[in-house]
Amino acid sequence: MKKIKRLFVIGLLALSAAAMAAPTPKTYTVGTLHVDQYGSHGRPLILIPGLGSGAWVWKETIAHFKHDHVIYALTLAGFDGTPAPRDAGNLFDAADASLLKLIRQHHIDKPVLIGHSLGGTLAIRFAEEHSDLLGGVIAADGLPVFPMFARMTDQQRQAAAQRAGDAIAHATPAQFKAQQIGFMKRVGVIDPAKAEKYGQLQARSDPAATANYLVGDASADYRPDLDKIHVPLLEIAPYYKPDYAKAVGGRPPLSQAMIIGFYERLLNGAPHAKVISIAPSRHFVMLDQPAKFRHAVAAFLGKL
Amino acid sequence: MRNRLHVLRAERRWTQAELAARLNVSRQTINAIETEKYDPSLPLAFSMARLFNLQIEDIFCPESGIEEKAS
Repeated sequence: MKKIKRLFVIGLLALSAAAMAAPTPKTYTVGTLHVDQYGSHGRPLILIPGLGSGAWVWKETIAHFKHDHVIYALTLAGFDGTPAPRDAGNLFDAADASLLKLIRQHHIDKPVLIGHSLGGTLAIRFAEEHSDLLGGVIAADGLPVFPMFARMTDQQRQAAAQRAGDAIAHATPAQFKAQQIGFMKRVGVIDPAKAEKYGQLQARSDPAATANYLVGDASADYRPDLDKIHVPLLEIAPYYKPDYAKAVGGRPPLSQAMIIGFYERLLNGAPHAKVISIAPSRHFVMLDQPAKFRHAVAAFLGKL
Repeated sequence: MRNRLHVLRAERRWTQAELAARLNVSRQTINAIETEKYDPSLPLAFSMARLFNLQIEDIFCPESGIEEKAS
């Protein structure tokens, strides 16, 4: 009996140690957002993943900042195995409305939005609409317009976005999975083994919802209202030299400075925008360079 | 993604294989981009733009009386 009691106590201690090492977040849903909440004090950070991603992309970011910040790690409905909304219309619009609801319902005071890719675009859009509610915005490779659609008319952009969405919506599950893994290998991260692993995670998302978000995001051009952002905006542009290494047409390869210039051009009009670049990194900069990403975020937060 | 790649290539009388060699990608990649089955990464889009002396937005602009310009 004594032995059983001892085992029980040891088991309890082990469980509580595990709980202390990896505290379970408070989880809830607001509108079309699934929220994992960490931390108890400090300036709130709202983390918004990109197309097809879940809160797992912020694992290291959360681990680092949860001690000094209240973190709201979002997953947009339909991504990362969460249920896709039925008849929700434009899911990108629904995410924007849900973000406002989250901030208001939970009385989140001057949060900093940190978004990756589509999440960065959402953060920029939200800052244009509700700058007064925010403390700042960090966009990791998320821009106010899809770069390749930047010179299109609205009509052309919507048609192009729809075609891009159709390529996802009409894919079979096997094709969708191959798309996600292929994207991670070509564009996502540098390490092919990690790309395979992350691609599998991306493939947990709902293809129809993924297509819906993509069309909503890529159809829009948020450049005309950049001047409405009255809080500091940090844009982080990843740079991986081998991707730009080949000189074409007898011209030198694109430098990191030229990439920064390109991003600055797309953000021209945002009064408090600053572009920095992190290398070596592909699109998922917080996964390719977690330490450099953390330092950039910390430096930004330190100046608010 | 509809794009002008095939037009730009044809203007220079390059085959898909020749363009692929200039961009250091496979011919299949060029074919996939031209048939809108594959969206190029930003670095590849930049390479295409520099090769054709255009801005990257121009490569993917379906109807534009684009004049070549320094990028």
